[in-house]
Amino acid sequence: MAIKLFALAQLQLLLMALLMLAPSTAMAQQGEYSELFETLKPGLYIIESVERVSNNKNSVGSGFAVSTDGLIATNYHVVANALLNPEQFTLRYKSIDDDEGALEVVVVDVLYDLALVRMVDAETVDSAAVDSEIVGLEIVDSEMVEDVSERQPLPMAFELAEDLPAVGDTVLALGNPFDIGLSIVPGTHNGLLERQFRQNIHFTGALNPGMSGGPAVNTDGQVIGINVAGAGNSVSFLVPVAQLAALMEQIPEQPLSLSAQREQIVERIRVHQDEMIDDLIAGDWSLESFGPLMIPREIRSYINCTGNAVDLGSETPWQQSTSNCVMNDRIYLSRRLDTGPLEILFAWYHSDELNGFQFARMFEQGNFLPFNRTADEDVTEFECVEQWVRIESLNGVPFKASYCVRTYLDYPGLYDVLYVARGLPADTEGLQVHYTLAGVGKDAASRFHDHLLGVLQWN
Amino acid sequence: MELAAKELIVEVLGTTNNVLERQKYHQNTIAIGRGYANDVIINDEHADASHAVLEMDADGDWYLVDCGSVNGIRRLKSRKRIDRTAVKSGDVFVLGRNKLRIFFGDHPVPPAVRIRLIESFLLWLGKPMVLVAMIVAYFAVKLAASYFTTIGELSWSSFFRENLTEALLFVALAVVVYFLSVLFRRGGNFLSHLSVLVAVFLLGALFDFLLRLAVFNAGDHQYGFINGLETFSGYLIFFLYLWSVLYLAFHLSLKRRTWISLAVVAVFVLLSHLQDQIAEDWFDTQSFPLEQALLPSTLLLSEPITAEDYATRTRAVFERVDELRIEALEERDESDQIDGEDVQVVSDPPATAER
Repeated sequence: MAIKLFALAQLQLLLMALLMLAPSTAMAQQGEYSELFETLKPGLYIIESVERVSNNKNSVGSGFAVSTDGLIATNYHVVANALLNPEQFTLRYKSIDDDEGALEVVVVDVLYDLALVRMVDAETVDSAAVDSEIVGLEIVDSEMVEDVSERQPLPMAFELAEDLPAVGDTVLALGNPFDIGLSIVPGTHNGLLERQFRQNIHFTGALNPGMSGGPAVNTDGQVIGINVAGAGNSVSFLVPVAQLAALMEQIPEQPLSLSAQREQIVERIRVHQDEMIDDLIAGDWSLESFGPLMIPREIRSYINCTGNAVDLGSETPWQQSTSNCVMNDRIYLSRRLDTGPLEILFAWYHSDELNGFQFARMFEQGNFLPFNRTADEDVTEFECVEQWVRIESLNGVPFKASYCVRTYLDYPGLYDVLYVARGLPADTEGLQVHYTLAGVGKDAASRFHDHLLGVLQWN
Repeated sequence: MELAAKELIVEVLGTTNNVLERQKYHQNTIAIGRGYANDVIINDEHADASHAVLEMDADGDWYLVDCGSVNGIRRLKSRKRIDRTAVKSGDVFVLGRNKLRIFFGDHPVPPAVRIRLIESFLLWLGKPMVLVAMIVAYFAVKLAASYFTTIGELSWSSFFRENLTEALLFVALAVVVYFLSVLFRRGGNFLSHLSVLVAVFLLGALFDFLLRLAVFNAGDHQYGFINGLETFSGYLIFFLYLWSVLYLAFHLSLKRRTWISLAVVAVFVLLSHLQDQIAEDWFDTQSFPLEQALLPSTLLLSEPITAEDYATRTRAVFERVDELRIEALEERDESDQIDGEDVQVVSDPPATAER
C-alpha cells in the first residue's frame, strides 16, 4: 500500500512538472481534456499478464470498458501470452480505484490486433491458486458465487464513434505508458494509412509501450480507435474503431476453448491472406524494364519497392541490379511468431570479365531467408521442390527453381512459401526471381505463383 | 660309388625371418662358423669359429652336427641343445643368435602369382617420369580448379601457399609409409607411393567435378542418390588408397589386403555414421534447402520439366509439410510429457477459475 501511495505521489509530481513546462495556451486545452479525462478514467483499465508460479507481472497493457457488464477491449498482443499459455500465465485488470480482478479472453481478432476480455471476478482464486489447491477451493467457491451475485455494473463504458473525425482533428489517446499510471496523450488524427492492406489510423502523438489496447477518443470522448503501435517520433497507429464494433458482433455464446480460438485465428488469417493475394493479382501489373526483363513493381499502394543497379566498383568483376518489393504488414501471433509479410525480389547479374564457371560460382551464392519471425518451436522445417523448369513466359528459358514450404505447428492450414529461381540465359548472365509468402493457404499460394511467373517478359 | 651330392641351399635369416643371404652348395660336407675357412660364414660373435657341420650320410640324408660350440644349436622355438640331428628341407636352426634355413634343391615352391594389371600399374606409377607427369597433372588440376572457382583475380602467392602445404603433406605421408614398409621388410617403394597419392587425388577431383555436374543437372528427388554417391566415392577412394598402400608397403596377399582395406573403411563408415548421429542429436540444425550448385548453362544436360509438372510437384510439398507437422507435434507432446512431470500441480488451472 505504501508503495502505491508513493507511486501516486510521484505521478502527481510528474504531472505538475509537465503542467509547469507547458506553455500557457496549451494550459487552457489541458484543462479541457482534464475534465474529459476525469470522466473517462473510470472506464480505463490496466491489463496485466501475470505468471502463475511467481505471481510476477509479465507484461502490461491498457484496456477500456465497452459495456458495463464487464467487457473490456484491448489489443490481442496484450493478452496473447495468457491466451496461448493458460497454464503459465493469467490475466488481471486494475481499475483507477485499484479494483483488481481476473479476466478471461472472449474473442480475438489477430488481423487488427484486437481482443475482448471479460471480468470474471475470480482474483481471489488466482492469487490463492498456487498454494491453496483443493483445501481452499470450497471457500473460494462460495466467495465467488457471492461476488457474482453482488457484482456492480461498471461505473462507465466507452461509447464507440460512428465515424472517424476529420483529418487534423484532435484525438486523445489514453493508456498506461511504461506502467507509470493511466495517462492522456493529445494528438492529431491523420487519416487512414494508404500504404497498408489492413488500414490503420495514422495518429500523430506519442504512443508508448503499455498504452497498447487503450482507447483513442475524439473530443466528445467517443472511441475512434485503439492504440496499437508507435513508430517513434510521435508517429503512431490506431486500429479503426469499426474493427472493434465488428468484433463485438462476434462474441460467442459459450467461451471458446484455446483450440477453437486457434481455429478461428487460422480461418481469419487464411481468408484475409486469400483476399490480399486476390487483391494483389487484381492490382497494377504493368511491367517496368529491368535489365533484360520486364517485371512488375508497385502492384498495389501497400507494396513498397526499392530497386537499385548496384555499382560494386571496379574491384568487383560483375554488375548486379535488384528490385525488391515488400509488404511488411505483419500479423502478430505471439512474441516469437508473426506472419503475413510478403516479399518479391528480382535480381540481374552479368559480367564481361568472369568466365562461365566463375560466374556460376558467384551467382549461386547468397541465401534467402523467410521474411516473418518464427522460432523452431512454432514451425516445421522447410520441405522443398528443386527442379529445372522452363518458365514459359520467358520463352522457356530453364530456371533452377526451389519451392519451399513450411507450416505452423499450432495453426494448421497456414503456410510460409519461399521461392528462389535462378536462370542462366547466357553463360555470364544470371536472373533471379525470389518471393516469400507468409501465412497463406495452399490455393492462394499457387494462384500467386502462377500469376507472378506468368506476367514476366523479356525486354 | 660315392653318392652324387644333393643340392643344398642355406639361407641366413634376419630377425623377421627375412632372407639376408642365400647360397647353394653341391658338396657333401658344409662347415658353418665364424671362421673364414667355413663354407657358411656367420658374422656373429655368439658363433664359434667352427660351430657346426652339415654332412650327408651314405643314404644321402643330411645331418647337422654341433662341433662343441659355446652356444650350441637349437631348433626354432626350442631351448634344447642339439648335438646331432637329421635335417629336413625347410628346417630352421638357431646357431648362436643366427637363424639358418636349409632347403634341398627339390623343395617344392608355390605356383607363380600372376602379375595383376592393377599391381603392375601401381609399380608403373613409381617410374620417375610417370611421377613427374603425375605431379604436373596435379598442379594443372589445382590451377584449373582455382581458376574456375576464384571470383576475381587469382593470386599466385596464395595459390602456391595453399597447394604447397597439401603437396608437402603428401610427401610426408609417403615418407611415413616408406618407413613403415622398411620396418616390415618390404623395402619400400617411395616413388610409387607418392604417385599413388597423387593419382588418388586426381581421381577424387574427377569425382568431385562429376558429382557437381550431377547436382547441377539434378532435381530434389535425385539429391539423395547423389549424396549417397558422394559418400560412396569418398570411401571408394579411401579403399583404393589403402589397398595400394598395403600392396606397395607390406607383404600381403591380394585377399588379405582387400579384407584389411574393407575392414578399415568399414570402421570409418561406422565412426562417421556415429558422428552424424551425435551431431543430429546435439545440434538441431535445419539444413537450409536453397543451396543451388550452378555451372555454366552449356553443361545443363538434363531436360527441364514443364511448369505444369512443377506445379504438381509443389502441391505435393504441402502434403509432405502437413505430415512433418504431425510428426513435430508428436515429438513436442512427448517432450512436454517429460518436462511436465514435476510441474503437474502448477499446470492444472483451478477448476473454479473457469466461471
